[in-house]
Amino acid sequence: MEFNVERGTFLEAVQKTLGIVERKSTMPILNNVLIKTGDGQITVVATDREVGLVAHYNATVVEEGGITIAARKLFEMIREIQGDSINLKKLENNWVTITCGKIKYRLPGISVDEFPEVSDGDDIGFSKIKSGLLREMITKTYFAISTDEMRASLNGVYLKIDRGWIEMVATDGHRLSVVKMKLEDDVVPDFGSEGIIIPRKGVGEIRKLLEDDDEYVQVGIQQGVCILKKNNTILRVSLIDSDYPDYEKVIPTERGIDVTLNKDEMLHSLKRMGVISSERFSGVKIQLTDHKMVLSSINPDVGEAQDELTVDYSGKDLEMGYNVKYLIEAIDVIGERDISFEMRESHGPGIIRSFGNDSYKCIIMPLRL
Amino acid sequence: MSSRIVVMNDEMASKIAAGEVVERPASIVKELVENALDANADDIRVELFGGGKAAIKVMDNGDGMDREDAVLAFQRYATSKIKTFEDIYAIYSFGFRGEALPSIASISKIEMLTRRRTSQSGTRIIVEAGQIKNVIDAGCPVGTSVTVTDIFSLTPVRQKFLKKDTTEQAHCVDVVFRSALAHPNVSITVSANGKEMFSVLKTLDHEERIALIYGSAMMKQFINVETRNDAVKLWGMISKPSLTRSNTKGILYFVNGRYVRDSLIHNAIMTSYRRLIEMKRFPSVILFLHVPPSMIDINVHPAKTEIRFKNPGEIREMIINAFSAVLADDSMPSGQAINRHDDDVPSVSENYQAGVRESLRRYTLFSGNKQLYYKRTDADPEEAHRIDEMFAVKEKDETGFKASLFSSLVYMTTIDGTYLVFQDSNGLVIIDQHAAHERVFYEKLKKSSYLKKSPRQELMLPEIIDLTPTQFLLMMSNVNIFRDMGFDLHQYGDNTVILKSVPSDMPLTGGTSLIHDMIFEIESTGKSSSIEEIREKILVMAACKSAVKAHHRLSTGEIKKLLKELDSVPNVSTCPHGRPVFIRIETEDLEKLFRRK
Ligand SMILES: Nc1ncnc2c1ncn2[C@@H]1O[C@H](COP(=O)(O)OP(=O)(O)O)[C@@H](O)[C@H]1O
Ligand SMILES: [Mg+2]
Repeated sequence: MEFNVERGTFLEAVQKTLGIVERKSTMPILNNVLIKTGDGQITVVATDREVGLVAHYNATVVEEGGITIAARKLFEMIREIQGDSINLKKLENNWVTITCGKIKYRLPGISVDEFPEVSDGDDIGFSKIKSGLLREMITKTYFAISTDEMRASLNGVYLKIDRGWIEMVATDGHRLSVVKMKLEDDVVPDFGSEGIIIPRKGVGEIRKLLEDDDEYVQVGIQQGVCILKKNNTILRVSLIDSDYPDYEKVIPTERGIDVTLNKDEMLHSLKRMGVISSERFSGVKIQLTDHKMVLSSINPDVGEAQDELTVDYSGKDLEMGYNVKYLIEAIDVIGERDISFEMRESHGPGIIRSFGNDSYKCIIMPLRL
Repeated sequence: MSSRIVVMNDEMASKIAAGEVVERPASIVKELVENALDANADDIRVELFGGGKAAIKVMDNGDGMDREDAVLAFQRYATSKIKTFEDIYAIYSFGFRGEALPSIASISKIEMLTRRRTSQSGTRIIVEAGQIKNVIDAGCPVGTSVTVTDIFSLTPVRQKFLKKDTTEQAHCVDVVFRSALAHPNVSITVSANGKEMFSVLKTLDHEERIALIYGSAMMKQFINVETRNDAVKLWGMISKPSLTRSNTKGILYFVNGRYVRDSLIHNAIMTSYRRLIEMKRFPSVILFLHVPPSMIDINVHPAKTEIRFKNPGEIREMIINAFSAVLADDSMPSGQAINRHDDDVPSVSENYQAGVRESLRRYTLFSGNKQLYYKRTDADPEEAHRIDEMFAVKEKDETGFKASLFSSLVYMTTIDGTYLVFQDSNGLVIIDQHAAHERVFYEKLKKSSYLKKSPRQELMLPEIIDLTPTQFLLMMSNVNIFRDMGFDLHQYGDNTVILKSVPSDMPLTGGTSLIHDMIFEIESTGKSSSIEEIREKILVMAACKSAVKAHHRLSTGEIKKLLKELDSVPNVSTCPHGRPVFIRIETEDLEKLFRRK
């Protein structure tokens, strides 16, 4: 096998696999990327058995074939090479040379036969979704994914499509983030009535795939795998096979005590509280009185903080506690200028949303300080 | 002069009677050895034939009996040891019921030879199936010898239930072995079919006796505990957490010289080792308690292997405090060798022959001088010096000089991204970085206010936890402890509870598995845990979660910091799960491995 490829293309191709290849896999083959030649192109494949990536890039093929190479080392080699075009050639016994002008690397590869099968020519129905829309939904839910491995169903985002609406949800049991958006009516992907759960790592890779353009991404589901196609790349993510908890019942239907806040002002104030918080003392006390919101934090190990915001509020006094990190993360992802912060008495959940817009809601359970 | 044997009146006999039954040869050995000890003997010889099933002979050099007493001794409820029932709360003797000799005599044939020091001649008495057949004057040494034959010959059914010779013999030897541990100033020998099985000379005290029996290699793995209050005295040798066994056979404890089984003492011992040794592993403990007879009741079990304390809480606390203090102090310098499990250490019964012989040789030469015991007789001044040095270091350690021992180690390399290898003047020290961090975090967290009065994080979806009926009862009786920590639990249905909030500083978001774990622990330890214990359990999980994982490279700065921290916390020899934090390979070990020695 031998091919010539543009350095920039090759660097990007290998870089995209780094998030997927295992760092310390018990199966050494999974540390490798598979590179094989095709018609005027090369195909780069990486997998950790949960997430798989197949991408095609233009290249000049000299001799057909395929090989697998340690991804991280390959990436570092290409990165340090200066020059435009790289030649990769497989020698006997699966050794590989990577040449660019006078620079030459020689390294051992592993035969393609040992690499797990990652299919790319899936013959299933795909539907189109705007990249930007999916990306925004991920940003607004990703932070709330649970890291508790004991609760598999919460280790990912839940995705559901219902009568032209797409909804994404993540929760760790302390807060729940939900985004609901309208799809363009001609394209309605079918995720089944149950919806799907995409694991955290897969969600991260999807986010990278969507990057920052606003093209369409093709989405399809096949046998517990979510397949996304965009330009030259196919991403396969094994879904979490589990029931997602009935989250809708925790979203309050009746309205609580609502205050409108300038997003940046509130965020900065919370960050000022966050400075003195620690894993142990992560709480912020929020006191609402006439036209005033007082934020305060006490951490016996560090000290105390207090801040005050002017708000348009004239109801009765209210005092609540929340984890400051949960508030910051929920507010940070909002793009609009103003936010609404809805609180409830007697330890009911608080809700953060952007002002006058119900598409994103982050429900946060209070902390009893 | 000992007092005379008196037969109890019926009323007293009925209060004291326990219906002692001879179950197996070892019961006979036990009774006869105890009688010898009660008679102030300081030389006892036990001979077994056919595993103790064919014949048992116990000889002592004690007080002996005159002719009249020798006859009375075979009557039921005839004893020289108590006069009134209340005396049992004031005696230190093993016997007091006057049941043993008649019970043994009823199932066998006994020949007893006995002579008091003051008598010119002795008495020979033959008893068959409980009936005295013959009493004559006979010449014999001072003391008593009892030969039991035809054991269970009249009750073939019992005989059938006996195990094979080697098993019965092992039980007999165990009895003698335990007596030897408890009575350091008595020389004791046991032989089987004419072959010496176990033999110890008179020693000064328990420590010397234990060293004699266990040998110096094992002694290195033990720590001394000693404490007392107004009434109770506690002394023992207990294994370092690095030496564990897969069973409880290494745990022996004695109350007033009496070997007993007692769940209170057992639990106190295991509690002291909790978090220091792995689950399902056990320490080796030789513990002696001296309790005023008025504070215990020994008349609760026919074989007197059970006792009742009048102040169980005090005893438990005393053991836990004493053990925890010395275990926490067990740090590096006491020469901890490669961690061993009992699989590597020959069991006492396997190695005692060689060990004892060697010890005896040493002991004989330096008899009487306790300090000298540790020196070798095979005239290797260097070796003797080294051993002295080792103990010198240990003493230093005990007086608080242990600081900066880890920090003085010289870092060499890391193996498999996990095991940090160091050098010191004595050899190699290998530290498991995860276990070490875990221990450090755990001790820090334990000291901090972590999970004490923590803010409560309300749960979005309250967790419903199904329990077994037993677990449910345990949970409901401990519910306030959980609530105090921030776990808001309520009854939800039959055997179901609902968890509405968790402590905000809980390391994991899912409470269910944690609650399950804790309830399981409470259930398996069989007692309702204290808030401290439950907190500890969570701390272990937290420490494990926040400690550096294996396969994570540490910078030299981080390694230095870790060593410093290890110097500053107690219990460094194991992680909170009980796995070793470090192992030591001394030059001596290397020499052994390379067979230079
Ligand atoms: N080896 C012995 N040396 C001296 N006296 C003994 C010995 N064995 C038994 N005796 C005497 O015989 C009595 C009865 O013994 P035993 O039946 O074992 O009852 P107990 O030990 O409960 O008194 C003892 O109280 C003691 O006076
Ligand atoms: Mg007796």
